[in-house]
Amino acid sequence: MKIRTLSKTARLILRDLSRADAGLYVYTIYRRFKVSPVEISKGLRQLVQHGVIATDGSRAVMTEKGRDFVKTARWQLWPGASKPWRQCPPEFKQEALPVNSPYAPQITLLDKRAFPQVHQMRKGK
Amino acid sequence: MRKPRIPASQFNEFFPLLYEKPWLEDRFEEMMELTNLCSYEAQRSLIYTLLARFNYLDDSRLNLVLRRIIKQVFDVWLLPRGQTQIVAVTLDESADGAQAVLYDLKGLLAAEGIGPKDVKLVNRVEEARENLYKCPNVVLIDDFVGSGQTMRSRVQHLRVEFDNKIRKKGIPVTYTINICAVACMEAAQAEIQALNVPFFAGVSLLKGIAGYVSGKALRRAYRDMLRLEARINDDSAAKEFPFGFNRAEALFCLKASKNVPNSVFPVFWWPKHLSGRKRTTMFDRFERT
Repeated sequence: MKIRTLSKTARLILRDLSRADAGLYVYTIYRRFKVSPVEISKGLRQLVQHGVIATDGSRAVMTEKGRDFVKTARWQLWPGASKPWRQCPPEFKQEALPVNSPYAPQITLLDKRAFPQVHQMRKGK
Repeated sequence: MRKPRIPASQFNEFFPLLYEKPWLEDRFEEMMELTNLCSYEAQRSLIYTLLARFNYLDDSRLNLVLRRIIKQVFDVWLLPRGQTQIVAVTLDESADGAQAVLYDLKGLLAAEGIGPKDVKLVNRVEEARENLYKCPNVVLIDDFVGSGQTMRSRVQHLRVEFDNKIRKKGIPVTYTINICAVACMEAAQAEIQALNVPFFAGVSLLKGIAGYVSGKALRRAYRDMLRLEARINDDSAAKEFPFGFNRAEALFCLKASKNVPNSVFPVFWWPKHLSGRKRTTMFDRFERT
């Protein structure tokens, strides 16, 4: 199953259900999303067809397959989620320098491709 | 403007129905409109119950039924190829559902390897007489048999016509008349059986209310429906009130035809309010109003 093929409502339902171990009443889902019951019905049917949820029309629960799917597709389901390991560690951070303040870069650490002339000068020294 | 939220009691009543029957999704607004016409809870429940019993034949189910009709004609009744005509029960010059079904049969017949040499497809009952000597086996076809009265009058009409022609020509021929319908009301079957001809219906329908409940529940449901109909019935066309033509209580529509039979409860299709204002209905019907 591709997450792209799911409707927006289906994705929302999947997100909400993954947080509800005991499942949710369909009415609860309807109340949260403020969309037409038709959208809810279509979304539920789509998810049931893929076997990721089960419903009797009044309650919906996640299946085992659904839990696995949510795990693999979590970045698409929660695209705005923070990724703490992508953050710069605090020991590498320092105060921002004021604009136009003198700054002496360490030449050996400059990128060789970006600053070829600087490296040329260093070699010729 | 945002639509007001539907209360939980009502939502829980219709949602399982909506989920189970995807065709209702396309008519959701109309369904809500119909439930707004109801003035109390029991009426609304009645509408949902009737919708749950509704027979809505989409294209794949219609094809299934039509294939069964073809099978019935050529494999069960064993009507000889080349001597059979399938005739729509249309009497006059105006288009009707029987012709639509007849036309739908065309492609399916071809798929079974049956061509124009094997069977004649005739648009009108009147024309069947012309083919009497070539194709003495007649299959009358209709989309929906509500009371059986139309079918009975057509069969009697045909018998008279055929006998007249045979008498006039002086050449005897044994003809057979058979009847096929996509759907038939259970209540009409006795009428058809009295004709003493082979009969086949793809779908058999019980009366929408009387076929499912009896006694007190039946009286209550009738009362609720009558009160609901009183809000749209302007007494201009009494024949569809109450409960559809001839009190048929039908719950049936072909997706392909879009024109609902007048045997269906009029609350589902009657186009006007009592005041003359136009209604938004779940189904439509080409009707003098």
